[in-house]
Formats: sequence, C-alpha cells, structure tokens
Amino acid sequence: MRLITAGILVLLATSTCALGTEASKYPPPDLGPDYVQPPGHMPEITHEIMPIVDIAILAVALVLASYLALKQRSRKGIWILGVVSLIYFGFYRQGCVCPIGAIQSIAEAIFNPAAVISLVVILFFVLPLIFTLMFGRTFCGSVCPLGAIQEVVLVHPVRLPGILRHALGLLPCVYLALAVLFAATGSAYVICRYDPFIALFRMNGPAGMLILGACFIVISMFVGRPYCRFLCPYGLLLSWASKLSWTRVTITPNECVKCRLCENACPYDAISKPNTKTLPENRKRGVIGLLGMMLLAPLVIGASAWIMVKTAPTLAKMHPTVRLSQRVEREDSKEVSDTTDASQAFRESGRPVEDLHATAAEIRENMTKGSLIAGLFIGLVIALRLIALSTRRTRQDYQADRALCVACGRCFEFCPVDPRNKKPTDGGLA
Amino acid sequence: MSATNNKTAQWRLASIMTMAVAGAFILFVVIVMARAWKANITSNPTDHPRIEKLRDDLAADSGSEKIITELRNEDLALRKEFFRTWKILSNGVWLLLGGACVLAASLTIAISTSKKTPMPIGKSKGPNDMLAGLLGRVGIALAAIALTGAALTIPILTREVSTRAQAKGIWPGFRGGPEASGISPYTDVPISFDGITGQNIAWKVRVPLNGQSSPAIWDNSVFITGANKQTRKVYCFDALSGRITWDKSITAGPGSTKVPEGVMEDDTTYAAPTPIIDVENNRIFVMFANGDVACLDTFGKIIWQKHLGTPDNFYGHAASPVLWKKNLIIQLDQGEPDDKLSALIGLNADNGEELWRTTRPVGSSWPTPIIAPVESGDQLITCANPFAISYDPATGKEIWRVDCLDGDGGPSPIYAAGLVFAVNVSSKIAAIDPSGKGDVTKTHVKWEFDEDLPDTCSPLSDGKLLWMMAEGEFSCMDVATGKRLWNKNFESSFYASPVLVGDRIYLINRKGKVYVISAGRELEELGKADLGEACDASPAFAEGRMYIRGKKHLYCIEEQNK
Repeated sequence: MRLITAGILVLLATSTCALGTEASKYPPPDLGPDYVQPPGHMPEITHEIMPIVDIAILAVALVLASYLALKQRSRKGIWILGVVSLIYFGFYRQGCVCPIGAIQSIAEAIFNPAAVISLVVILFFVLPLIFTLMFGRTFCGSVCPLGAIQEVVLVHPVRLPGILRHALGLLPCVYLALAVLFAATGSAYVICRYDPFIALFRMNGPAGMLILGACFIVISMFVGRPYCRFLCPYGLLLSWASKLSWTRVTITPNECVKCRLCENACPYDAISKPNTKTLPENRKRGVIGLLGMMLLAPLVIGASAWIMVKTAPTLAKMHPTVRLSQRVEREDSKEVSDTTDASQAFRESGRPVEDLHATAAEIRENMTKGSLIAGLFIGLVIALRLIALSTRRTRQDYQADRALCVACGRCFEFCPVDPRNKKPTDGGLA
Repeated sequence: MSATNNKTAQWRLASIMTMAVAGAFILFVVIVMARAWKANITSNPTDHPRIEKLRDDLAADSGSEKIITELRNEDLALRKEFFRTWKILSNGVWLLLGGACVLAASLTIAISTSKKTPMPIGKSKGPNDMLAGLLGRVGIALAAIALTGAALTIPILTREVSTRAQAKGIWPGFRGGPEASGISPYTDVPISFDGITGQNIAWKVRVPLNGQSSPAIWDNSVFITGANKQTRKVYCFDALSGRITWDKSITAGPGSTKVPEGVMEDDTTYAAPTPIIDVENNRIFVMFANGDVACLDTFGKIIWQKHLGTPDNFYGHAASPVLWKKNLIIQLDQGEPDDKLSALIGLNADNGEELWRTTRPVGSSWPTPIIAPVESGDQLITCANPFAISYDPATGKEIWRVDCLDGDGGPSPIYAAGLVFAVNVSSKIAAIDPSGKGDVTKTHVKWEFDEDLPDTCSPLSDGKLLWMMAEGEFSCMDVATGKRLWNKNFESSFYASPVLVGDRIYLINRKGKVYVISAGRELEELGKADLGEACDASPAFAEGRMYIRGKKHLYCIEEQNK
C-alpha cells in the first residue's frame, strides 16, 4: 500500500512538472502587425509579513520538535509535526526560503561585498544550527520539508552495505564545497537549481527536475532519506553541530538493558551497537592504521586541491558570463554559425567584446582560487574521516550516533525501559 | 485487552476502507486528468489542422474578412480549450495531492495497527569495528577515485564539439552564386526521395512567410526570405536540424510600407529575389518586391538597409541581387522602356551607399543578372526585352549589347564555353561572344535557335551541351553548333531552373514532381522523386544535401541509409 502512495507521489511529480513545461511552451496569440505589446513591468517590492511569519513558525517548530523528541519522546508527535512542516514549508511556502539553500546566500554575502542578504535568510540558516548545537538534529527530524517527504514515502527500508554508505557519505561534503564555490563566485545557486523536491512543492518545474524528483521519491521508498544522508550539504553542517550538541536524542530515557529490540529500528543506520565484547582489538594494528591515515592526510588534501584546480576551467562554465564569453568567441571564430539569445542580446547591447572576455577571465581566476580552497576542504574532510575510521571508542550501550541521528523517534517505541512503552506494543506509528 | 484489540481492529478496518475510497478517488482524478491532458496537447493553435487549413484558405483568398474572422474565432476557441483543460490539470494535481495525503494517512494507521513487536533471536555478536572501519576506508577510497575520475572526465565530456564539420556547403545565391550556372559542386545527393513518406528527407519545416526565393547556404545555415504585403522577413535555418535559428524583419524606410502594385502573390510573390552571401565577410544581402534591400550579418543583425523606391513592375520584382567584390548590384528594371525608370544600381556592400547608377533602355524584367568570368575581365550580363547587355561590374558602364530578346523575359542568362547564352520565350536563344564592344548584334552572335524557348526557367550548360526547359518541353543542344540533339515533353509546367549535379540533371515541375535524367547527348531517365507539394524555386546544394523550397515548406534532402 505504501508502494501505491509513493507511486501516486511520483505521478504527482510527473503531472505537476509536465504542467509547468506545457504552460511555458504555449504560444502567445498573433494579434496582427498593428498590435503593440504593452510594456512589461516589475511589481513593486512590498514589505511582506510572510517572511516574519516564516521565521516565527520555524522557531516554534524547532522548539516543538526539540520538545517532542527530547522531552515527550513522541514518534507520533514528531511524525505529525513533520507532515505539518511538509505542508507549510514545502507545499504552502514552496520550499523557499530553506536553510539548505541559505548556505549559498551566506556564502555569496561573505565573498561578494555587493551581495545583499536578508535577515530572514540569515535566521533560516542560523536557527536550525543553534537548535542542533543545543538539542541535536531535531530540525532534520520534523521541521525540514525535504526530510519529511522522504520520511513519509519510506516503504521498505533496505540497509545499505557499509562500504556504500561511506562512499556515498562523501557526497554532501563535495556538494557543500561546490555549492559554496559556485555561490561565492556568483556562478549559480546549484542547491536550489537541483533541489529534487522543489518541482513537487511548486507544482511546476522543468523536465530535468521532474526526473530528479521522481528518482529521489522512488529511491526514498527503499533507502531511508537518501537526500539527507548522501547529498544534503546543510545536513553535513548539522551533523558536525550535532556532534558538539549540549544534549540530544537517546534511544532510551533510562539505563539501556541491551534487550536488542531497537537493533534494527533505525532505517538510517544511526544506531551503534555496544562493542565492549569485541574490544580490545589488536592495539598495535590499530595504531599502525591510525598513523598510516595521519601520514596519508597531507597527500589526500594536496591531491584533492590539485584535482579541484584542474577542474576549475570546467567549473567556471557554470558562470553565465564565462559561458557567454565562450559562445561569443566561438561565434566570432565562425566555429558556430548560429547565435543564442544571450549572445544576440550581448551584441545588441553594444558592450565591447574585450570587456566581456576580461570579465570572464577574472571570473576564471576567482574560480581557480576558490577551487583550490574547496579542494583543500574536501581533502581535509576525507582525511579526517579516514582518521576517524581508524580510531576505536568503547560503547557500553545501544547509542544513537551523534552525527547521523536525525531525531525521527523511530527507535523510541522499541525501548521497553521507556515508561511510555509500558502498554503492549501493538500500536504506534511506523 | 479484548476491548483494546477490538478498538485496534476497528481502526484497521476504517483505515482500509478509507484507503479504498482514496484509491478510487485518485483513479478517477487520474482518468479525468488524462482526458484533459489529451485535449490540452491538441489545442495548440500554431500547428492545429483547422488553423492550418484556414491559413491556407486565407493565403488563397488574401484579405477575406470572413476567413480572418473565422481564423480568429478558431484561434480563440483553441486557446479557451487549452486554458480550460490546463485548469483541470492544475486543479487535478491538488486533488491528487489531497488523495495521496488521505491514502498515506490511512495507510500509516493501517500499518501501525498491524505492527508486531520485534523479537531478536540468539546472542548478539557485537559489531566488528575493525572490519567496519576498514570497509569505511575502502568506501571512501572508492568514492574518492570515482570523484577524481569524474572531475578529470567531465572537462573532456563537456568540451564543445564544433558542428561546423557536419554540414559543409557553400551555395551563396541564386543557382549557386554570382555566376548562377546551376551547376552543383556537390554530387552526393540522392536520386529518389519522397516528401510525403519522408524517404531521404532529413527534415522538413514550414516557412512562415510565402516566397519564391531559393535557399542560399553557408555551412550550417540556410537563408531564405519570405514576405506578404506588410511583412518582409529573412530566415536563417539550422542546416542540421531545420530549426529556425533566427528571423529578421526588414523595413528599410518610410517607403517600405507602400505595397507594390501588380505583384502576383501566389506566382511571383513579394519575396522572389534569392539572398546572396558574402562568404568572406559573413554578410547576407536580401531584396524584396517593395524595393527594400538589406545587409545582415550571419547572426541576423541588420548592418544596413535601404529602400530603393517601390518598383513599378507588373508581375513584381524578381531579379536577385548580385555581389561582385564590394559591389552589390541590383538590376531594377521597371515600367516601360520609354519611362526610363530601369537602372542598374551599384551599392557599396559595406554601407549600402550608392556607388553608381546606369540607366537601362528597357522596361520591367525578371531575370537575375550574372557575373561572367570573361578572359578580358569579369562582365555583368543582364537580360531584358529587347537587349542582352554586358556591363563593367566595377563602374556600371556598358560594354556590349545584343538586340535578341522579346516579351516578358524570365530566364537568366548563363555563361559557358566562353559564350553568353541569352534567351526568352518570345524570341530566341542567342550564343554571344562576349569579347566585343558596343552593339554586337550583327557581329558577335555565334548562333541562334528559336524553338521551344523557356519563359521562366534559366538554361543550363556543362560547356558542351546546353539544356532548356520550355513549359514542359525539355531540349538538349550542342553548344558549339546550336543544333538540337533531343527533346522530351514532360507534359507539365516548370518554374524551377534545371540543375546539373555531376552527370545528372534535376528537373522539378510546379507540382513538386522531380525528374532525374542523365546529362548526356542521349536522353536517359535515371529516376523520379516527389517533393509532395508545389514548388517553383530552384534547388540549392551542400555536401550530401539538397535543399528545396516548396510552396509551404523547406526540405532538406539527404541519403538516409549512408
């Protein structure tokens, strides 16, 4: 039955995106040569109340999410709050502003002095981070509409092999680095452009986003929160904040009795088993492994930076000015015989071609510098992960992983120590 | 316990029933949306059959208020239908979403009421952190390798590949350019094709505005013109896809809006002159029946445009402009000979300024002048009743003239085997030695022939043989002697001039039937093809391709089974 629901969501995504593309293709009426099209005009900017309402609702939702996860330990409450957030932040507010996309605005504001950023965007970026530093990833659990939609369609969770999880786990770091790089250089807001669920939220969108959204919904039916775990750049920041959090969600409110009931409760592989029985391992082997990884770290960081610098010319093509410069160059050298709207508009503007090429060269230079920093960052994250994987920590109980746990509350109802679960476990939500 | 179980069972039953209702509702919405979708996609007025038919009717009966009103009503009805069905679709999406939410909620309740407590069996072995760490490191290494591969491969994959090599060809103007010989340097074009079945048709696109101008080709671009009483446009088609890359309206001045009298809209049309391309400077020159001349770059930007005055031509101006070095030469023959309105005009190709103007002793004419590469220097050859006249293309000064033509001349002259061939239906074909000066009627005409003469199609010659198409009667002559070798009646009317493609001659009649014959001293029919629609324009050629402008569509013909 859940398959049917997810299927309908896919159908929904298909139909909404098809609607959007069809409407935009429809030709304007031919009103004859004498008809003069009225000039277009931009609506005046008005001081809307909605952004303030959004902030207020976000703050209330974060408080409520933290209360439901930490104090009430109510999976049902978390689920309902998630659906409400999905309806409000997703379908009603159409997924914008969102903290994930706010990363780009923040990056652009930092690196481009001319960029303007609103307080709403800053608060959307900061508030979930503050709450995560205090209470763990309660934002992911029930406030983020992207997380909620994946939570709703999860039909039959399939556990991914550890090797694949770690491989895919690298993607958010790369995505974050690229998103910041593109935003900082003024190239593009890739997080927004490739948001897989935005077409569904807006009932509109190009075919590419439709296919992406449909793919993610289908994958989300079997793999728990694939976007959150293997792509979301903001989720990466929250996972780091969650590691440092003051308090966070626990599987049991009391002492763990190691009953193993929660062992397979988490579809996100965020429950770590106690390892006291398997430790100590071969200490010498462990130390050699750790030292090896530490020695490898500078090499990994350097290689990553080198690769990113080598990729910089390609990445620079994300910037519209660079693309236009290349296009104009190809047209001028007769490599192509047609024009694009952009190149035609540029030629009609009367701006010197040399000016365009100079601006493009400056952007390429900035992209190279940015790529170097992004490469260093990616390399550092890889190195730290390799080192972390070479260290061993003793776990006495079943624990929710500090970074991976999204505070969805699925594990609560499996804990027999929790006084709320004293009644027979034949109820509760999935 | 029993009460709890009963309550749970009731919830489960209620949720299953809700699911069934929600499912049925969703199915109903999907069916309604599918029907609306079908209606929505067929209500596009740009290519709707009813609109197309009305457009054709309007073209046949220009200015009919009844058809215009009908067309507008039909257009409005289609638009209403589109937005009605679009509204159904957009509302349907919300209903679908609502249904999905109800289904999801009832499903969740159904699942939660049938959930069982997990029961772990056996002893837990505990995690193997050492192995997990190793697998994690391997996973990260694999991801790093994959990302590195992607980072190094993407620049190669995204490298822009020039399409220039894919559609080579230069056919700069009417019958292939300033010499207008009608001989194609590209011979790898199919003999058989069918515009209806699509056999060997690479693409076929509708040309928005009517015109008799032939295509001109420069690499990946195909240029043609189209016009009606009010609008004049230059179209650039992408040679590979047929997509219109750009179009540009030409209005060269206040006089442009004056509609020339006498233009036969369905015959000569308002856009009969073929564009000419300056391949060295990437310029396209166009002319229309209202006297507008324009120069554009290959991106569609107008470099200059000029109104030469509304031609007083009783079928409509048809002569294509000719380019010689930096001179754009217009043969603007009009009125009667006594009116002294006809002139040969030399314009500066860079800016449109008039360089020279030579009054011509002729009335209205329609042939396109040609550049003849005579040994003593290039000559511009013109034909109009009653003279074939040669001019110096640099100054417009007359070199020689022959009084050999009569009637309303359509065929352009050709230059082959050192001779100029001038012809018209009511007179004769004359083989003229272009080495003379002054009136050479009696001294430099090598031979004449006065049977089966063309009224529209230009002659064709490979230097040894000469072919003419006269109202369906196709004849072959010996260039040296002027003797007719053979003739064949195709029993149909022809406007498109014959073209020589290797050892084959392509003939296209006004119905679009194509006859391919051997270019030999004996007649041999090699094949037939069918464009599928009427055609009056002469074909153009590129590497492996032939472009034909039909009455409504532009065709790209290419062997599909290479």
